[in-house]
Amino acid sequence: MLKNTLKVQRAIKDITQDQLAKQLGVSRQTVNSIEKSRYVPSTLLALKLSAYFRVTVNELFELEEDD
Amino acid sequence: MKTDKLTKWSNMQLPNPFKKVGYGIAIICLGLVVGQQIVGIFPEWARFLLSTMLLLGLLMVSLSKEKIEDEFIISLRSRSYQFAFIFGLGYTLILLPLVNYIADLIQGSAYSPVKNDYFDVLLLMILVQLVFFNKLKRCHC
Repeated sequence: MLKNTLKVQRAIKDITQDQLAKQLGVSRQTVNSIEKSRYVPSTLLALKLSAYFRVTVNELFELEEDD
Repeated sequence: MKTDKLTKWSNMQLPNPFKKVGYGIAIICLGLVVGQQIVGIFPEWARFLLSTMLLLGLLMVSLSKEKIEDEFIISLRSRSYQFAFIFGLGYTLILLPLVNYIADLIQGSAYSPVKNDYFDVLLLMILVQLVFFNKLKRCHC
């Protein structure tokens, strides 16, 4: 699974999972699952996240050593 | 062109309000099926119609979109269909004959092959899909 900095980025922007989900047009479960590395988002959603937080996809997601 | 049509059909879903309609149909039919088992007043064709309507109601629930239908929900849904399909096959091909064989062994009667009723198998598969899908959704809350 991918490691991600979604929680950190969310904290910087000071928004809740629910607010982020609404901004991206997805469910809160989706945001929660991505944050907990239980779900790897599609390229489209990863790009939406990257555009929303104004960071690169590589800053948001990182491969684990065993990947 | 053919691929486009196939993709369109494979993504076929009903709007969210159909979920309540499906549950309504399924509950009414289930009530009547259970009532029929106790009272036994309906003719054969009515029992067949009720069973079919029950399955169609549950299918409607299964095909209805969630309030927010995103890629994560789609992935959970496809996992639940996969699980239900494997469970249905496992039940029909392994579990049912095995239970039948053990029952015959205990009763001391000769082995009799099981006659699979498609209604039982389809009902089991669709219920497994719905339960597993809801369980997966709750796991990721």
